[in-house]
Amino acid sequence: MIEDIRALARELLEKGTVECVIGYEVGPTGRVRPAFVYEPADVERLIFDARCYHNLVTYLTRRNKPRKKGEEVPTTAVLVKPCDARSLQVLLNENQVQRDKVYIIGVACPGMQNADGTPELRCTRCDQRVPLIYDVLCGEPPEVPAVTDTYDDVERIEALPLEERLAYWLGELDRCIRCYACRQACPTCFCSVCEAERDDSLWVGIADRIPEKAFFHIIRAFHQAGRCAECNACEAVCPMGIPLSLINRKVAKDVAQMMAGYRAGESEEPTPLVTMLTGEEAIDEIH
Amino acid sequence: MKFIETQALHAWLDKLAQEVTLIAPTAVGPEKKAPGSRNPAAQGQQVFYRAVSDSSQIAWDFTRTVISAREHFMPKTETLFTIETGPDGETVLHETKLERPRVIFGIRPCDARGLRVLDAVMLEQEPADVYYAERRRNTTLVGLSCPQMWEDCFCTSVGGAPNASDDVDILLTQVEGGCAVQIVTAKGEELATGMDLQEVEGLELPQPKLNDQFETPTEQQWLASFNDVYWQRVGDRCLSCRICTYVCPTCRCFDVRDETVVTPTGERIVRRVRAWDSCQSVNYRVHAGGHNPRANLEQRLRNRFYCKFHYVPVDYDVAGCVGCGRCVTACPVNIDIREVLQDLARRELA
Amino acid sequence: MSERTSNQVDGFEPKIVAFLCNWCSYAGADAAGISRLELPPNILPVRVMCSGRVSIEMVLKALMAGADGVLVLGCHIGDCHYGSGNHRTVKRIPLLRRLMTYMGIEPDRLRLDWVSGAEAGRFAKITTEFVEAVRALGPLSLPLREGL
Repeated sequence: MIEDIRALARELLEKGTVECVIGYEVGPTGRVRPAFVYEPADVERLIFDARCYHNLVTYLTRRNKPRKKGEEVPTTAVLVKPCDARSLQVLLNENQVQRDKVYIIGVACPGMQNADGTPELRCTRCDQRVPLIYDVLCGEPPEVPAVTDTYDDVERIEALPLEERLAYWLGELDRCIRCYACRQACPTCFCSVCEAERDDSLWVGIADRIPEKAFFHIIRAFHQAGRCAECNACEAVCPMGIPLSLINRKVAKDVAQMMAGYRAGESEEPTPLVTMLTGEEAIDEIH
Repeated sequence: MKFIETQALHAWLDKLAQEVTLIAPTAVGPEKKAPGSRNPAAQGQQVFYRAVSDSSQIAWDFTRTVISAREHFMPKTETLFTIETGPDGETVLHETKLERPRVIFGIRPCDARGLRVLDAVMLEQEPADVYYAERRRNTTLVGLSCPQMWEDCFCTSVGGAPNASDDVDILLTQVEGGCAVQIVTAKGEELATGMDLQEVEGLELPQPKLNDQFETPTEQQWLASFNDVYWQRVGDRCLSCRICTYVCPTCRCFDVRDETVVTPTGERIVRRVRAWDSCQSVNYRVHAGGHNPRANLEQRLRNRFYCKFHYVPVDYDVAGCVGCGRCVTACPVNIDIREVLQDLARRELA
Repeated sequence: MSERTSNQVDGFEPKIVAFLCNWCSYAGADAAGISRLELPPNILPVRVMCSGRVSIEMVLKALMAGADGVLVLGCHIGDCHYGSGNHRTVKRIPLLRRLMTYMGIEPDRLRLDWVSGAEAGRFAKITTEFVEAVRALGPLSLPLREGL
């Protein structure tokens, strides 16, 4: 598979189809990291295996802006796994990325692994091994048993008494240091100035206290409603190990339940939170 | 060489915790935070410098804490003062109370060295920062030397050492049965009067295992590299989060805001808050009027390196990086300060 | 619906922030006033152009800044002055109620309902009901409320 990826990357760069190929490489200390390849000679750096967990779609919104006024937006090729492809679809739906300025190299996903070789939990719940959108697909899709995401992790929290839920979340969110890595790693968090970081502190002050931190995480999760592709980039980068996926997955679960099974990035429909009622919703009582 | 037995050391710390605020490396947080996550930070407790009530809470076998000890000199958030309405409708200003004496036990030599940069900026420039000065004055540092350089550590390449005693008041080194004790300053001398010290003839300090040392760029190389495309290439990968600046022992940028808040009892007060800020943030450098001289991500990333290795050394005559390696470990996209330094050091000057 | 047992506090008067849409609910509130209907004094009305304008930030900020409950009132579905503003509201608020429950805050502290300009009686009924419901829940005591 990696030979296919390298050959394709070389061809794209040699022909000038794209300015840059975003993939993965191994850093000098053996850590896998995003790689930006501009020269055909450098394609040998590219790798792909079960450690390539970063969602590279994050970099596309940045590259889809002209560097200087009037300059043309360069075309970028990007390696996407199925989850990354869903987040890319969200960006395409929201006109954050121009389809003709991105060359999508889909990879048949083996499922990502933790450092100890065990599969990432999110990957054991995922039944997609081929991205929903791509220009070229690399690799043979592995067989996967059909799995249904039962949201058992979310249900475990839901089953706690109200007070315990509050205590749990206050404890988890109190560890936050407001480094905003979750937001920065998230492909669908693309506002140029986050409302949690506004100079006028309109919504959230600068202090590192529970109210500010909880506010930030709740609004971020809510802004991802119907948009979060569950790529887990936020949780993977959190230096404090906050289980952010539990918030995002709760919202995703509720959106699917209430909005006729809607799942982010699986269609060209934007998030149902910005569209009209269709009559198919199963919305809860409103009070 | 002075020596203290493990038991005596624990007893001394237990007693100390009664008298002063004892801050020491301690493992905090739940055991299992995000099951199934690939994130190493989610796999167990993490070690921070926190106030402890006795020696049993101390994580003796820690490598380095997640956040450096600077959070106890420049807290992540502090209220400088509040303005409230008094009983007769008058305006009352409450300044934050000064803290009781503190001892930071188990500070690593690199973290202590990082305070040089903070001192240079906050103390040695007029006017000195009173909040920082007060904390610094009231704190005694009991260092614990590293038995080895840990993964990602590079203190020896930037002028430090895992067993350097230069910036602490007392330095302990773990040896068989206890700790060797080096008393460095008068402040340390005073604190050590409570320790049950023994004089052991011929006690040899273990030599820490070192990581490979590497060349750092020269002043000319820094000056020549400012407008290099290299920064764009490193910046390609950067997420522009704040992790590196928040875990750093020498980053010291802050923001100050006045906030109007309603207290739980319904009173309306004004609070002046100082909190950490980061040069990696998009609007860190925005001027009144909207101009942003560091609007691009690679400019912000570059600033972090120039701040440590050019601006601070030139302006304050101290090394801006202590080589603790935290930013290397913590960076989610593996921007490795060691790699950047070596890349620049290899450059040929025109 | 509340999972938390009543923690009624003596003399507790709930503070309620009510976001009223300009075209229907605010007019309904006005009509209730003109008709001299009895209204609870606990309501702090905030006029917004559309219930679809009520973002979750506004709801959360109200709760964190000292409100014990938040009421969102808009035009009936189909009657929105802007056509479909309240279509967003009717998705957003129930979703937020679920997320609030998940994070450990009683969902009944947030209520969405529809009041047209002619429904003065309905306005009085809903506000009275909501104040009593929040009174039964007791004050919202969160560490979140040390002021935002």
